[in-house]
Amino acid sequence: MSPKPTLAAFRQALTEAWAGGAGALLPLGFFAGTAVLVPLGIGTDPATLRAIGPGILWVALALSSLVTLERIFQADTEDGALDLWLQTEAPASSIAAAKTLAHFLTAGLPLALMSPLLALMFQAEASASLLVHAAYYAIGGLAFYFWGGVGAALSATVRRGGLLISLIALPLYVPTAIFGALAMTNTPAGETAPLLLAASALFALAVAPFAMAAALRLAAD
Amino acid sequence: MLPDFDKNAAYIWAVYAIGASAILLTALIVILKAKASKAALAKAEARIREEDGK
Amino acid sequence: MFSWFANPHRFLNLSSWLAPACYAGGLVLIAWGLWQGLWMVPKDDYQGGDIMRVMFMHVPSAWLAMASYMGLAVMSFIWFIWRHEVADVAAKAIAPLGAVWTAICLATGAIWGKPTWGTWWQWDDPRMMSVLFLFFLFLGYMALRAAMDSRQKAARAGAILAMVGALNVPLIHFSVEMFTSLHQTASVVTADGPKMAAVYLWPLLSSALGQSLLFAGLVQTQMRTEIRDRRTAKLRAQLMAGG
Repeated sequence: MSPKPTLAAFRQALTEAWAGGAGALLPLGFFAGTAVLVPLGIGTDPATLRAIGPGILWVALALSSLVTLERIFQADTEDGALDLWLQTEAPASSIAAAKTLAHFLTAGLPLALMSPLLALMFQAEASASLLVHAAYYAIGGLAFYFWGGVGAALSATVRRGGLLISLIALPLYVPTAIFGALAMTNTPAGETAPLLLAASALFALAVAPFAMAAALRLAAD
Repeated sequence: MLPDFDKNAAYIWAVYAIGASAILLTALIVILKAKASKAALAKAEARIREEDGK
Repeated sequence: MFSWFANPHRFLNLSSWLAPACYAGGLVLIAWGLWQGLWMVPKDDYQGGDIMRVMFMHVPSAWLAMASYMGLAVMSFIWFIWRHEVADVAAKAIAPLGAVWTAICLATGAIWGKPTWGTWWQWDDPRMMSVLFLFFLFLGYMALRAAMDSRQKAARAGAILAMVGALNVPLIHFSVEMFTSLHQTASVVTADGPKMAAVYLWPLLSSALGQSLLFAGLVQTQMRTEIRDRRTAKLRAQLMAGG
């Protein structure tokens, strides 16, 4: 078993995501489309914005995963690349994981890295905890992307599968979203929540690749 | 004779009305679908027999 | 053991008397449960007076919402491992019926919540939230099956999703419990817990068993419809090929 096909899939997905979405500008643009509308909709009261800021960022992260993942396997199904991936000696699960990871790195991670900046726009106090929160967004985003990947692989042969992915992924996002949001609160639950957040991400990393592999074999038939 | 409930009677009747109508509607759909599928199968079987008879 | 049931003819023979028996037993038990629950048992003033009588509708639907998703996952697993067609027929039949009972659970829970909590929708109630996500799992399953262009693909995709969903259900429930434990809410009427008086327990058990039997009967009727439809499709294909 050689790691080559997996690396190739990773590189291909990375170039695809980078070239097709104008690179790091994509998540920025996406954030402008979602989060910046919120203060316009609910008003600019600093206390309100401070309270809802972290939640808005979680929602933006979840939405970015859904939007990004819609076509990650669909294009491969259409142009036959999927059949080629499945014929290589690498397991389908590692190829699916590599592709999902590449999309997380180009669209999810930038949003997490930008999160301190965005938190300041939502009136958070500038402090080191914003950097800790960025790490939470990165961990949670990983779980979002892998569960979303399952939805994307399952609907790879479905035209206009984007809405279907949202419906499939929503309940799977719940634990991560809850642990992530709790981790940012000053409560007793907030102390154990980071560990549970990491556990939910590990769970996604452990289960999702196999579900994606089974779904991709189905899409290739 | 309907039982006489306290101030929350409207809520109780609403719960049972919703539950009963949802279940009855579902049962009705299930029964109609079963009937339609029986008819479709009988038709297809009749046509097969017709073909075999020729 | 599963392969014994995997034969569609055996299933059709079995369900030809079992389904009517389920309907009859279910209706009798529901009728007795309702008569006891609405007319006979005294109201419980510790549980808000007469409003606790809605539990004879609400609690069985909550139990069926969970049990039906479990049934869906088990059938998907059996189909995925052994490829027994009857298991897929069962999974396909369970999903919409499970969604109906889950919706009943949500609706009746909201109505119970209004006089008890003062709100139709209590975000802080872990059971309400868990059932809501269960409802979404059912919807996603049905939407995915409907979007697939062949029966075989619908079965495979549905089975994968139902199994992933079932793995996530305990985690969802745990996270929701943690989420809601942050906020202190008045503890509400619950059917679970050993403290329930026997006068309420028997009507409740009767309603729950009755609704479960009714559900089982509807699942069997739906399965018979599906098996017939598959047979019709096969005959039509034969006619097309022959004619």
